[in-house]
Amino acid sequence: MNYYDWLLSRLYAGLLNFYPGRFRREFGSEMQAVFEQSLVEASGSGQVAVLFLRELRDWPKALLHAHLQERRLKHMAISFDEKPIKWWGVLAGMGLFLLPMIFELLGEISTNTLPVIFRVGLVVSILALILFAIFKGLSRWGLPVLGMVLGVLWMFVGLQFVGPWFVPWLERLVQGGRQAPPYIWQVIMDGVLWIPLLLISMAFVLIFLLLPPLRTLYRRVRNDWTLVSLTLYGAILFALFIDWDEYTQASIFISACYLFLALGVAGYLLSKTKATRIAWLLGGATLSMLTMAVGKFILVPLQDWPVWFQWHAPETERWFESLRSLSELGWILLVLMAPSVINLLPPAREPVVGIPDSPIVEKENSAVSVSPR
Amino acid sequence: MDIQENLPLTESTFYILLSLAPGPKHGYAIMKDVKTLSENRVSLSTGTLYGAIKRLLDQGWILRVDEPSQNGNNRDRKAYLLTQRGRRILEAETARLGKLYHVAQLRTAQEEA
Repeated sequence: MNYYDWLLSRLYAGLLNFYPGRFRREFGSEMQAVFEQSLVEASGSGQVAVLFLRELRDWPKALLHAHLQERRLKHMAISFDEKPIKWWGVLAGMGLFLLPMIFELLGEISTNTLPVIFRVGLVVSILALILFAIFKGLSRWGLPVLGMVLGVLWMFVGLQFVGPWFVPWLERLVQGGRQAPPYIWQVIMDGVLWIPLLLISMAFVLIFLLLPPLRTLYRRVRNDWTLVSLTLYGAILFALFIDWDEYTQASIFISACYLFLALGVAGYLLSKTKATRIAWLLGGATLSMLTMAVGKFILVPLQDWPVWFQWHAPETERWFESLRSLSELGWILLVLMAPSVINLLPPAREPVVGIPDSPIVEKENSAVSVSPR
Repeated sequence: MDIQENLPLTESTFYILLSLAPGPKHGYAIMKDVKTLSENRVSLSTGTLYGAIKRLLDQGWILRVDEPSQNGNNRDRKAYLLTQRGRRILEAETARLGKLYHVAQLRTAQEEA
């Protein structure tokens, strides 16, 4: 190799430095060796300038592709990482449910009603958690936060648009409409919260499938559908906010509800199999809603609802409220299990990206002919 | 994923897979072979070649193996070989091109008649 070839070789080595580190470590020395081999051959035929100009011409495009590919890999590694979750991830996942519990107890200690400052503190803390979850690439522990946001959006935005025509239609559909037994009507109305949440989540999965830049997310969900269940699990927190509204002397029961939900998430995040993951979610939701049913049964007669009790006997009302909690539990279990059932279907035949098929044994005559027929 | 979804291949990808069809090759040999197969029309730069190799490895169409050193410097070279999936895709693309050629020939023959 003469001096000019050596110089070009060094220049080429310099160009390689612009590739992403992972790419460089994997292919850098090979690329350098191939370039030097090409250089030796080109020197013999006086084509050195052509060779180097070709490298220079293709360098920006190759560099761009390598960096884009690297970004995709990093995104895959951050999002929904299947590696064992760290302790702070478990704590952050529980945080969505533990924060309301802490504020509920603080409110109980300070006064009989939750002061405004604690409500503001709770909202700020949850917003901070959402931002942290987004900042950390929406790992598994951040998914329930999305579910809660989805629940809020559906209740306060989606239902406001859909409700005016949907509820009357539902009333016509159910014989007697609001004249139907109140419990039956309530069961249906609870379904109006939960079933659309499931459908919206599935619509998101479909969008992930259809939009190529989001297909990585689709693959992650397809590998483990319990991720959708985990997302929807967060909406239970919002349901609790609504269900416990207007209750007094309920802090112990409300806190227990939050605690069971937090334990469900912790169990999910620490579990290694899909079956145990979904079992933890179902367990957390069941214990939480059963606590609410028992709590309401005990607390309803103690509530100061004079106007309401003129129309509804406390004894009837306590049964109504408790049974309603159980019917809501039924919807929740259905919605949590629905995506996970998809895990039972046979897996797709597509090989997992990055894991090649088994190599074939090459034979002398196995070349593929491309001569036109 | 259906193999047809991966078609048509880019010219570079097709030639790289075709180059590996007879057996494993290292990077420089692939580069030379692509040039020969394309009758000097396709000259891959190292950046383009290894960008394509990286993508084909990720897709599971090719596999990397160590090729024992031949000049005694104890440095194994990396060679690449087709996986079964890569071979199926190459065959599907070859069949697709064959059909195109056949249709074009038929139409040209009709026009001449």
